[in-house]
Formats: sequence, C-alpha cells, structure tokens
Amino acid sequence: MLIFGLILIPVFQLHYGSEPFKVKITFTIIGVAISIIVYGLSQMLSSRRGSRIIATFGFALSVLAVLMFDFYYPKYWYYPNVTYVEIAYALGLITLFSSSFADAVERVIESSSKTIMKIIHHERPVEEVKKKKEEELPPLEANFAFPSKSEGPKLEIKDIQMPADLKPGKALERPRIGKVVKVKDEVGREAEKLVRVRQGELKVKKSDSDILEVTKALKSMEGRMGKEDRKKVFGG
Amino acid sequence: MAKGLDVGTMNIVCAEMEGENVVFVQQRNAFLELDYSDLTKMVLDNANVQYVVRGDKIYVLGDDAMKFATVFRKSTRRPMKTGILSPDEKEAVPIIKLIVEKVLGEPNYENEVVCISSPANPIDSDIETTYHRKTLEALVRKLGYDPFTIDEGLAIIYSELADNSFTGIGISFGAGMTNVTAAYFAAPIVSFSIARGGDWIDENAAKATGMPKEQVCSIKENNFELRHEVELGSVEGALAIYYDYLVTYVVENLKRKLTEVTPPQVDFPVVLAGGTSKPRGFKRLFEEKISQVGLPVDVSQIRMARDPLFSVARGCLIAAKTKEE
Repeated sequence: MLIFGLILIPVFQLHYGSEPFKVKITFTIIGVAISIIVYGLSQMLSSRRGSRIIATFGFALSVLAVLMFDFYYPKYWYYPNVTYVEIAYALGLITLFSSSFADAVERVIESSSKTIMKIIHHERPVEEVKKKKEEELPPLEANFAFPSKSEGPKLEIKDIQMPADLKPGKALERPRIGKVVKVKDEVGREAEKLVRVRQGELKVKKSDSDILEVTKALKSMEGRMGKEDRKKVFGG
Repeated sequence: MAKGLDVGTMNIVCAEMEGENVVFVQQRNAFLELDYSDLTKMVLDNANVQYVVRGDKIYVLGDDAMKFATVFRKSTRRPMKTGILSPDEKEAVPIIKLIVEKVLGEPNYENEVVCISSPANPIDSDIETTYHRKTLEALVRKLGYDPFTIDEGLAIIYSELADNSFTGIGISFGAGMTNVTAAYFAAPIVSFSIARGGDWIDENAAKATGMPKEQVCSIKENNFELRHEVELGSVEGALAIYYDYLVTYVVENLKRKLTEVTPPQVDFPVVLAGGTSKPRGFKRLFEEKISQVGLPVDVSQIRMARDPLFSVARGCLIAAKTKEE
C-alpha cells in the first residue's frame, strides 16, 4: 500500500497546484499505510492486553487524522485545522512507536530472566522436580545444573611418556609424597545434603523482605476473614 | 571412596576420607633446576629431597624446590601460570604429571571417582581453560581414576555452604587467578575468573620496590597484615596497595556479573578462600569494599573458609562423593 502510494506521486506529478483528488488519494493511501505498518509491528511484539489497547488507540488516532485531512482539504485547509490534523497524526504515530518500543524492551528483559529461571528450577515443588528433572532441562542446561562426569568428545589421549633419560631420585620411590594434614570431618553428611539439594529436597533461607511480605499477606487475609474463620486459622 | 583434587598454580592438594577423618596431601606446584653433580645428587638423597635427573640437570620438585630456591638464591619454575598449564614451560606436563601422581597416589579401586578443580574462563583475558581441563582429566584417567571437573568457586560453595543449602558466593583468591562463583541451590548462576591473583600482587610489589619476587612472596606469606595505614616505600606498603586494588577489581566485576543475571532474592553469604586470602585483615578489607561498591544481592555474611588452603580440595571431595556408586 505504501509503495503504491509512493508510486502515485510521480504518476500524478504532484505539485502545489495539483488537483485536490490526486493529492487526497495519494496522501490518504500513504498516511493509512504508515499507520498500518507500525500498528502491525506493535501487534507482533505486544503480549499484554494493555499495550494492545494503547496501540489500537494510536492507530485509530492516526487514521482519524487522515480522515480529517480528507475532510478539510482543500476547502478548509488552513490554520488551525492543519495544526489539528498534524498533531493528531503525530500523536497517533508516537503512541504506536512508544508501545512497540516498550514491548520490545520487555521481551529482552523477559528472555534473559527466563534463561536464569530455567537454571534455577529448584523453586518448583519437590515432586515436580523429581519427576521432570530429566525431561524438562535440555542436556546442556542439565549438565550445567548437575555437573556430570567428563562431558564432550571422548578423545583417546595417549599416556604421557616420561622422557627415557628421566631418573627419579630416592625420595620419589615412595608411592605418595607431600605435607599430610588429618582433620576430623563430616564430608559424607555434606555430600548427602548436596545430593538432596540437587534433587530439590531442601529449601533456602528466605531474606527478611520475603518474610515481611508473607506477614503483610497474612495480616490482610486476617482482616478480610470473618470472626469464626479467623479463630480457626489464627487461633485465640 | 572418592578423592578431591585441587590443582592450583601454587599448590596441588588432594583430599580423601580415612575413617572419620579427611586427609589432605599438599605439595607445591613448582620445580627448581640445578646443575648435575654427583655431590649434589648425594646431598639431595641424604636429605630425602624429591628430585629427578635428566641429562646434566637435576629438577627438585614441590616444597623442596621452594626451600632450595631460597638457599641457592634461584627462582623456582612453575608448570602452571595464571591458573592453567603454562604454555611457556616445556617441562610443564611431565612435571605436573609427576607431582599429581605423587599427591593423588594409586586408586583404591579401578575407576575411583576424582573431582578436579578447574578455573572458570577469565573475563579480563583471552585465556581458554578447556585444554588445561582436558589435559588434567587425561592425566588422572591414565592413573586409573574416573575424573570430572568443577569450577573452583563452586568447590568452595560445596565445601563451606552446606548449612545454607549450597546457596551463596564462593571466591577463591589463588596465586594465578581469582575464581568467583555465585550459586543458588548448588547450581551456579554466575561463574567467572579474573587473571590476577597472588602472583600478580607479588610481581607488581616487587617491581615497585625493586626487591626479588621470591622475597616479596616470602614477606607476604609470613606475618603480613593488611592495615589501614601503610608505610610508603616498604614492601608491606606496596603489598597493601596491590591487595586493595585486586579486591576492588574483584568486587566491581562481581557486581557487574550479578547485575547481568537478576539473582533470586535470598540471603547470599560470601566465603573467601585461597592462599592469597590468608593475611590478617583480608576479610575486613573485603567487607569494606563490598559496602563501598554494593552488590545486587542480600549479603548476609562474609567469612573466611575454615581452612582457606584446603577448602577447594574439600569441596571437590564432596562433589566426588556424590558421584560414587
């Protein structure tokens, strides 16, 4: 539509004194085409109802401006009508562009947080994690969350042969050398805990702000409850 | 049975269970080249020093190399540089193979699981860690083990943050690199390294004061304390300046990386480990930098690892035990 409108300019050889219907047809087509293109882009990007409404409003405003041009031109095409048409069209396009830009930014933010949430899958209920751990995570992500034994191509690496003329000294005849430190430790218990955490069986300590949020929610719930229900849930 | 192996630029540490104890075997990851003579060989044998002879050279290995370097006023050579196998050291692979063999010992059974610590890819250098990781895995596999690797920072979280469901930030201030991992329920959300560590501090302090690097390192490792007031022109003063710079650099990069990922709103304790974090006053310096720079997570606590030198090996041992069949 836009290309057709643009082609009309040289075809009609538009100039200051061109016939009004030629000017009207050309600029109505171009004006509506630009609005449709931007509106289409906005609809492709938008996912929220609010942004769709804003975009539709912008589209309607710009189409209204085109209709106003058709109505005013050429008989009433003077100040302040011209200004009204210009402002309406500009406002319509600005609203459409702003809505599209906001949607695009939101998509970028969402896509990065989704990646993190795929890794942090422990927030899900324990049973769900247990059942779906294997299927949900693609192999690469699964390996990231649960590092496995050496991944990657299985290269057959030849043993590094020590140079034939290398003769170890007396001290190296012992099987092990080095400073030895013995510490009583509960490594086994911690390894078990690590397995349980990986399987989503342990929860992390929440921060004070989370506790505050829960307290607020409980308070508001208590406020909305009847006297009997309040007794049942909160006692007293 | 399973083993944890921390292969660091300065130390190689193996951790394994022995009854109710964890046994750590530690060896310096260094060697010293001496000219061969029958007398030198005899002296080394009598002193029970670990060495190998090749042609007209004697290579003293591990802790003994450090001791002899001071006596002979020579510099030790390192199989590793900035956290990975040194590309400039042609003897790197055979020497590290020898040290790893002697620290790890023979497997208790065929395909015993070994978890090896590995640096994460650095954010401020073009170093790539895959070759280093794969070479170490191959070396250990040839000894009859079944190896796998985890990031150094994650090993610290496994070792120190069991009580917080393995959620928090682990930072290993090593000799060649500083490794950082933030994890949520044992799953890393941020993992990176910085190609600066204790060696970087030593080198720059040595350049600034005109003293040999080994001497600066020795001062750093013996009774050095990070204070608010420093004496200009002294080695301690230079060390304090470079410590301050390194910690600021690490905290700023940690903030930048955490900002990129929208971390969950939970308590994140921070654990500091590694040989470079050992001087007194290091924790206070780190706390000050955190409060100056600020992190986009709730830092509930900042503490040192129970044993900063063995923390990574212990974390690797815990990871290895989870893979035991």
